[in-house]
Amino acid sequence: MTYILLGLTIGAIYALIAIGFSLIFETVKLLHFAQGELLMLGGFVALTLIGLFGLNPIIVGLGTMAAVGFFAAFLQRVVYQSVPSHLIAVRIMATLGVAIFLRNAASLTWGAKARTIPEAFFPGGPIAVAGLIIRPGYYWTLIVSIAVMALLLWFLYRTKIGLATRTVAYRADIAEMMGVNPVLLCTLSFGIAGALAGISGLLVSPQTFVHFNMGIALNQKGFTAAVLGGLGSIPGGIIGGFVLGLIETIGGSLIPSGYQDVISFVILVLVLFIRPQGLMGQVQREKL
Amino acid sequence: MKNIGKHLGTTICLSAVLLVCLGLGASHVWAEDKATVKIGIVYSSSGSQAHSGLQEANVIKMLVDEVNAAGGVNGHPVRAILENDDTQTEKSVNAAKKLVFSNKVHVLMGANTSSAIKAIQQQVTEVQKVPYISMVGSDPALTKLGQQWYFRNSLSADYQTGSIIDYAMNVQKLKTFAMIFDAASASDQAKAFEEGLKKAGITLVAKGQFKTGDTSFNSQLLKIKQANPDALVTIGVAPEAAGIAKQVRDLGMNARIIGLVAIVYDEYITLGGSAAEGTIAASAFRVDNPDPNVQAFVKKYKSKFNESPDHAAAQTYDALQVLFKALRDVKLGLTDDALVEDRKQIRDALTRINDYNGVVGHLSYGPKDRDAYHKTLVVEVKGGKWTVVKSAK
Repeated sequence: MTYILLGLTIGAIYALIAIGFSLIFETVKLLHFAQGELLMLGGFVALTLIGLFGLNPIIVGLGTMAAVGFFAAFLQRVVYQSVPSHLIAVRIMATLGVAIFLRNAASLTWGAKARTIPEAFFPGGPIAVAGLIIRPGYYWTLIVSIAVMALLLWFLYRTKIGLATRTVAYRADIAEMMGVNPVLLCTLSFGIAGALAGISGLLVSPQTFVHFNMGIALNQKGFTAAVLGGLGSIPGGIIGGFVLGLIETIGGSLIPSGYQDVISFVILVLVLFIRPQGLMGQVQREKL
Repeated sequence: MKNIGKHLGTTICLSAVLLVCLGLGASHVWAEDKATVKIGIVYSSSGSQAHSGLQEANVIKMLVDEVNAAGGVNGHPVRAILENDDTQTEKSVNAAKKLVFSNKVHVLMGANTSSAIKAIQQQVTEVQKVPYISMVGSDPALTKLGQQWYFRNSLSADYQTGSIIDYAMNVQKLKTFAMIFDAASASDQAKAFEEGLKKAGITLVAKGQFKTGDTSFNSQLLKIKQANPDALVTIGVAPEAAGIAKQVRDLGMNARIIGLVAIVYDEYITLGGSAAEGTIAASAFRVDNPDPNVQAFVKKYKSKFNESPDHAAAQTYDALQVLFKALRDVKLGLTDDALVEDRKQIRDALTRINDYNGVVGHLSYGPKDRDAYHKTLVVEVKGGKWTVVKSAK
């Protein structure tokens, strides 16, 4: 029971990063390897906002999402869009470049020391479930991330802009014929992915602390979750994240703990071998 | 033909630029004063050990400025050359190589983890015969392998474990111990602690591993929780140890956290918050030591850098003072030809340091004994502050 709860909490964070990966991959056709760095920015922006507005979860939460969201949209407009879309390798290198830039910029701006969000930030007291005391930081991670995921699914599948986004993902040229502006929607996707990364940076900080290198490990976990669920599939990303979190926590208790990180790599390799399209992904054949 | 002409033009242009660069580089070397004593310092201004690396750099700049203002060492100015290693062992070795081969330093200092210090010893200083002083590092093996050129200005784990275990068992009455340790960089310290416990007749009830940079320790801790120990020995550095302390409390465990000197930094308490309370560890330096010598250092550091010096800063202060003392003791040639002889002289002078009264404590080196300190204080986090609970015997 304890393992399941802990696995779900960390899984929720993986899922949020995985969704960001998938959303950008589907619409912009780009593997965005700076997603973990956006998460790191979220942690630092949240710390700065706490410094400005005090421990106000709503202002800090929404502010973080907005700030990182706008920043991600800005990145897409200024950096990624300027690289022609057929230069796939160059585009991926650009994301890695952005990641290195953001890490160093963060260490210069906010310093190299790890910092943490005060425990009192998350409202409510600890609750007892099945003999385990769960601190507010943990259950708020679950509540907020599930709420955010639900909101995103509603937006994508029940609103007109969501439909337009999915159309761009399916065939950008058809979408354009229907009067949809793909450039604008790609920017919007980046904004959403950035907002997701931002809020996860805030949520994950009680467990991992905020420091400029925190994005590297989480990036890899989020990517594994996205591939596991099926790269490009939003529900797949959610399932992939939770499954990875559970396997890691439960598996980590069975094997020598020094090898815990191997699990996600092994899963990544196995998935690519057995089911390259992932749990929820669809097989796409090139049409000639 | 047109094409070749174009390429030729580019080549000539590039060569010209290259020549100008080389010229500038050479003139830069010529401009350097040949008769300076050069100290190379490998330190972490980023990465997990930045908190101690930055304090070390502060002290070094402060002391080098002071000594130069007073006319240098035996009339020679001292120059400190600092290289950031990002708390990554490979980069530490590269930085050390650059300082030794390219800057031709007379003494090498620094590196902020035992693994980096060990790598620098094996790949650079022992091979190239360069005197090397480290200000941190608790791996017993650093001074146990017959090192000829190395001096440790910090506490070996060997001298910490006995005092900590004694305090934990006899004062705090803790009976069962579990351990979680950084397998990537602190397995020797973990082994030393386990042997110390064995000497006291105690076997660990559970054991877990992690590596530097890990953030989630839940699955290891859940396994340890089943053994329900009185104390959890955490062998690692401050950020990870604080994360462990937090997750231990989040899982509802009451085990007392025990650590080595590597966690005795304010950062551990800031990050760990209330979970850090009650943590037991060892240190050689106490910031509230009434000794006027110590208080003068603390006051000077605080007024200059607006923060309290930690043990890494204090150990750096002593290391440099001892080095200056050794340098005053010898007559250096300070030319490229004299480099080998200069390095040897400095090494020999360091081995003659005996009972120097520093801000950390009394420190001595010998031809065989390369550990500066042997006495340990036991400290505990009380009311959000590291407090001395047992003084050195």
